[in-house]
Amino acid sequence: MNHTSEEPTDFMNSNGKIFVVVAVVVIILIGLFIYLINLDRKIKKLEKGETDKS
Amino acid sequence: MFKSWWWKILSFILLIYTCTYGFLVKIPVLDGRMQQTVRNLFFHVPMWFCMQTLFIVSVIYAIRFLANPKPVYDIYSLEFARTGLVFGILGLITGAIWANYQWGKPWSGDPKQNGAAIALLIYLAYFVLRGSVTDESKRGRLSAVYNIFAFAMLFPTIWILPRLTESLHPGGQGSEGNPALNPNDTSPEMERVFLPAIIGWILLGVWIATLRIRLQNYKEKILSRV
Repeated sequence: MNHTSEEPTDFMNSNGKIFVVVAVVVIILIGLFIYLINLDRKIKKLEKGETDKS
Repeated sequence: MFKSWWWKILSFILLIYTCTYGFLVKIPVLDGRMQQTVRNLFFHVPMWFCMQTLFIVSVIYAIRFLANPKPVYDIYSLEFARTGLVFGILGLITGAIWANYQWGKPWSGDPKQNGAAIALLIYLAYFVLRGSVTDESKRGRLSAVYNIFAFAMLFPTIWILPRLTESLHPGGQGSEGNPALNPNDTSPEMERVFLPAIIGWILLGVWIATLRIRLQNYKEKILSRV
């Protein structure tokens, strides 16, 4: 085997890879907020009477 | 209020902070009992704060409806209760997942687990009640009265009885701390994430409820035109 036991040097691999979890959760959160923002704007358009979509 | 963006942006900022710093903030290194799961303080616990806030708003509008039967009050009461129920169910499920690894099984018959389940069942019956009353003029009044009863039941099931008996949750007899957290298990740095988390999740819950209300109002407006 050619593996060495050197410390990981890049950011995402540091700290027990917790930053990977952070990235996952932040992506989920951003996705949720994009969905809510679009829903909010769609309803706002309905209230103004600009679209026929229900 | 519904249309303004500032509190929705605030919710986003607070939740981004919670979901990043919540994973990175220093936690007390204890005996390997809770380990990293104590970070659930920023996710599981605010679900309940959010549910309680939404139910409070719901019952306020139920009371207002009884005093002055405007249909919008009934819609507000309904949609805040509905969104509150969603957060309550999320709290129950996340609690069961956490409990599985913390206390050995997802359901231990712990007083707060049972109390929360009973409280949610009572609120579920609110929606069953609404569905069973076909007379629109009666439905609002009956629902509002039941809403007040359901809210009153939160007191014994969630806020009082779990504190009076022995409980796995913090805040019970023989447990350290208050019903939200055990100071022995949390670090001072965590308190700095806890409050923004609660506010962020509550604002998110309110936003979802207001979207539902706006949609209901729009549907009523369209139907009344026909």
